[in-house]
Amino acid sequence: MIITFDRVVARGVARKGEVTPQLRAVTLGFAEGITVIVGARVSGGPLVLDLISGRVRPTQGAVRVLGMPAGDNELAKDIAYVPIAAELLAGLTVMECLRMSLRMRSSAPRDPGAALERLGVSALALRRTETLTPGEHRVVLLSAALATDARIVLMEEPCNWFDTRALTKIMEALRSIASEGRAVVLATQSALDATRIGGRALRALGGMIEEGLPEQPFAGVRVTTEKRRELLEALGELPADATVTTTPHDVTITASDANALLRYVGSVLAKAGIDVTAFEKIEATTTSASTTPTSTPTSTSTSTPTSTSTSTTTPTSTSTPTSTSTSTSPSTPPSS
Amino acid sequence: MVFAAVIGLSAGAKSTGLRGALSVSFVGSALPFLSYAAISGIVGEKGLGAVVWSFSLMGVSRRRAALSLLVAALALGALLGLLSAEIVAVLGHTAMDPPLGRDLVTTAWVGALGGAAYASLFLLGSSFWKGAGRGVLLAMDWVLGGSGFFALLLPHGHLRSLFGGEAAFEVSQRVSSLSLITLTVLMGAWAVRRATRAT
Repeated sequence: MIITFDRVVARGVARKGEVTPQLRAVTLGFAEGITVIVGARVSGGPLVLDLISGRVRPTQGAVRVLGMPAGDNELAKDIAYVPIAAELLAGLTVMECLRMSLRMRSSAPRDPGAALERLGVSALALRRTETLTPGEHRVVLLSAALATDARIVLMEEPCNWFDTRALTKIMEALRSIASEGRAVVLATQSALDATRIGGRALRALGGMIEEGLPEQPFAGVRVTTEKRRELLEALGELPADATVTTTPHDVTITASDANALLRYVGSVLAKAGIDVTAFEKIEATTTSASTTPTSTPTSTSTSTPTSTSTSTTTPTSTSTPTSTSTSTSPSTPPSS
Repeated sequence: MVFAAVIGLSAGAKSTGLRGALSVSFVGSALPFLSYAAISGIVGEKGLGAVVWSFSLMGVSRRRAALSLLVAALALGALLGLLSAEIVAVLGHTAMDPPLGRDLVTTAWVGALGGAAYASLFLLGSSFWKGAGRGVLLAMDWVLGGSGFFALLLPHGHLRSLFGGEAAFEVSQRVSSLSLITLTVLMGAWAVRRATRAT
């Protein structure tokens, strides 16, 4: 195993208004190839990456990376980390950043431009880092991982901030890195993203990490509100594969990337200030009529929706939109 | 802008004397602001931890990044302190002052030591509250560093004493120079420790 967790207990850094992410006595190992950890941020997926990178220290147990304790200074050159909020050094061009990374991480001289070209972002080479978008910062960091000999690549939300074309190249790059015998550990909130990426899947739930994808992936969201017309107007452009069903009581929206849809609808509700009675996930597989509404982002009242939707999907009691944190989601509708 | 202020101080020295210009105006305003600007340029708006983190994303170990930043900050602070003190000494020298050659040697090492001490202080401040601690320490040095017990813990009083002004908490110039060196090392080490620690 390249990375081992031995009964690790840890607490991450909480964002504003968010529960502190935690891990509870987690024991697991990571070998070469791709591993995707699926779960909400507070469930501990990204915390696993922070522990491997040494940014967070376990309160109990031990994390060992390449035989050394995580956080050891010797490991800096072996770990390439692409966090969700990556920020490159200010005052440098992209090429200068990549050269620095190559100097630190590679024994043989390599062309930093080749990695940018492989990800289709050669045009960024001479841009100064402070002019880059958050997504571009992440692409540059991934280029650095691609170009260097870093034996471990960590990436948070590998599908966020990128359009479909960029995403294809990023997936190819991650698979290529994994095929070189390196360990690629990814953390995402989207089970669909995990399926798309492939490799070994782990699920993070309540601070526990278990093998396999989360059960019952959901298909979409249902919003019960008096202001259905305002909601439909505020939704704007939805993904091409999205379907919208309205009833006298609620609006049901489904899409292939239901996680991104959930985040998007949650942010639309918050931005437009639309009061809702219920905001819930729709199961993809079951057809039973039971409903369990969850708390809403804009209203404290909850009730059981009396849906007359013709959809074959049903609501389920799952995490609220605030728990999937709109802060990490794109501000535009998710691309299909 | 800060150099313009230094030159202004030099002009003022013609009336207050070089010792007054260095120990009051230079130590009281020009040198701290000059060092503050230099450290702000190195660390940026988001603090020392953020810069070290950015370095680590490029494969540089956090300890190496923090130590490199400390060395760069001390070198830049010392250089700016030395140059600005020399400018004040040359332009503000009057017939009543000691021979210029002797003054230049003294102001050179005191200016360099003062610049390094302030660089270390502001680097430490940059490791608090996403960089906002830098401003807090600047204000503390200004308000509390001139007299009383706090003059022992901050550069202001010691530097004023070394430039020929009032002693800091009535300690000798020798003790002040040793204190400045100690403060520079301790604050720098603390800044590195804070920037490299895991959560």
